[in-house]
Amino acid sequence: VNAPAQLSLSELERDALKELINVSFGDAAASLGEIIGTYVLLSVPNVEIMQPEQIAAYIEREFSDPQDLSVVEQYFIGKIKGAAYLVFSHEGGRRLLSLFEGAIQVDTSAYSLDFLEKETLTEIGNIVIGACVSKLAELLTDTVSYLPPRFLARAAAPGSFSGTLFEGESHVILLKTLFEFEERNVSGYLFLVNSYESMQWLKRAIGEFIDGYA
Amino acid sequence: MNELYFGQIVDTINTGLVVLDPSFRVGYWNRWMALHSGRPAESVVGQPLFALYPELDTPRFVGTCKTVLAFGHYSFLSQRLHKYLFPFPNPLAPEDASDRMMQSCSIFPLRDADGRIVAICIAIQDVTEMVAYEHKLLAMSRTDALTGAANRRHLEDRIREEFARHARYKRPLSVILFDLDNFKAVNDTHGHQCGDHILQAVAATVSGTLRKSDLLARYGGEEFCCLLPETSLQPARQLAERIRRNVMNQEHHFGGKSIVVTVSIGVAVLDERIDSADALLKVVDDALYEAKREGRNRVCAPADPGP
Repeated sequence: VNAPAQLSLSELERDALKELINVSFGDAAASLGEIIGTYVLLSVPNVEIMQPEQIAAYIEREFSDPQDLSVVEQYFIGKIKGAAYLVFSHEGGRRLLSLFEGAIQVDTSAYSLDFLEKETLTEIGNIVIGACVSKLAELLTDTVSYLPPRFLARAAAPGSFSGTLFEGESHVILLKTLFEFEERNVSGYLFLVNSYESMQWLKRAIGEFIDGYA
Repeated sequence: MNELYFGQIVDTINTGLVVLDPSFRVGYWNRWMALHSGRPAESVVGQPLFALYPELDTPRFVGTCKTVLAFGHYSFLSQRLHKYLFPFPNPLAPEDASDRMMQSCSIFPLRDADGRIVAICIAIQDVTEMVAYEHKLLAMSRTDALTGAANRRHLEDRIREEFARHARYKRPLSVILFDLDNFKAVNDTHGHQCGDHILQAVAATVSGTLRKSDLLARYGGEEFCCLLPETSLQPARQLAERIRRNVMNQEHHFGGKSIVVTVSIGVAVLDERIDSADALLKVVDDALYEAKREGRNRVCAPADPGP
């Protein structure tokens, strides 16, 4: 909402972006469902554009315990370039994890269970981020590559959504995402921190997407 | 860059590269794969992967490959979770912990000229040496060098973890804290080497008394702590009694002398009045103090809170 004038999206562009994201997340849900063998629905009730420094305040508002989060970070590079952050409350992360029980077996002889839970969440986050971002890129006729995902320490999480690998100005597309599984509802947030130039490209690509419907 | 260079790069790079078509037939197998698998490319290319490696035919691996084919995302397989994908021999010395090569793998899509995903590539990195170092360093950072029991830092980490687990799942958790009686006298009479020998022997005895899921840690100089997950007060007391008797019945031989030591033991179970891991340690410390005060070589637990 407070984005500089040249990068603000019109009502129509915002709707188009929301549409694009909902379509890509539908595909992502199918991907998740195939791996865990259960019905999954991913819906995006809210799409916002903001500055990276606004994320911390947003998280403070949305999470009852912002110091206790599970965050997976993954950089992506294509014409659209940035960092994706998948954020769950600790409890949400645990509920998500419980859906994958059995699919991933753990060996606790060398690592603590907490540590392996983080590794597992990182792998799940990798799938969720990869499926969502790839599908979004594909709809915008782009293909992206990725760096390996990282789990961010919970206490450090709120201050660390800057996409530090990318210099200069960046913008955040915030997606409040609801993951609905057959039994448990897990809601999480996906932040896409995009570099300045890729936001301009994104705006053009959204325009072309809208023209395709005209 | 011309295609000739690409061929040389993929055959020289220190990474395994495998290309699979959508029906899991091998389309490419680089030299790294040939070297570590013992299978030359000619015998592999065109074959169904699961005929060559049936152990890879798991729902998780197949599911991951299918989603990469369908959605074109990148999938990273953590070594810490999966250990390895392809069962290759450990390239390091055989005395190393595992007989398999530890692998960090990624799976990514390959597209044709029109951008359609037509195959996937698996990249395999040998991380055996790193894993061996990591495990060695982890073990060192958790172990008391003299007795081989866990050190205090690891105990405190584990107690916090178990405390959180207890809070979530309401499983019982008990702690035993024991101290060698009059140990200063042993050191003063027989020397520190003898004292060290006894500490090692007692740690070995107690360790042999515990279950695999329990943790024995050296808490202080001659003070040890046992963390007992899934254990309520009564069995913890029985175990403490067994520890007391086993230690008392053990004769230590050093410098031609025979020495017997005893231990005083405190036992505590986590209940709703205890709100932190530190508070639990305080309760068991008080119980140990009580055992000392009542004359040593005995087990004490705080009074039952009642119904």
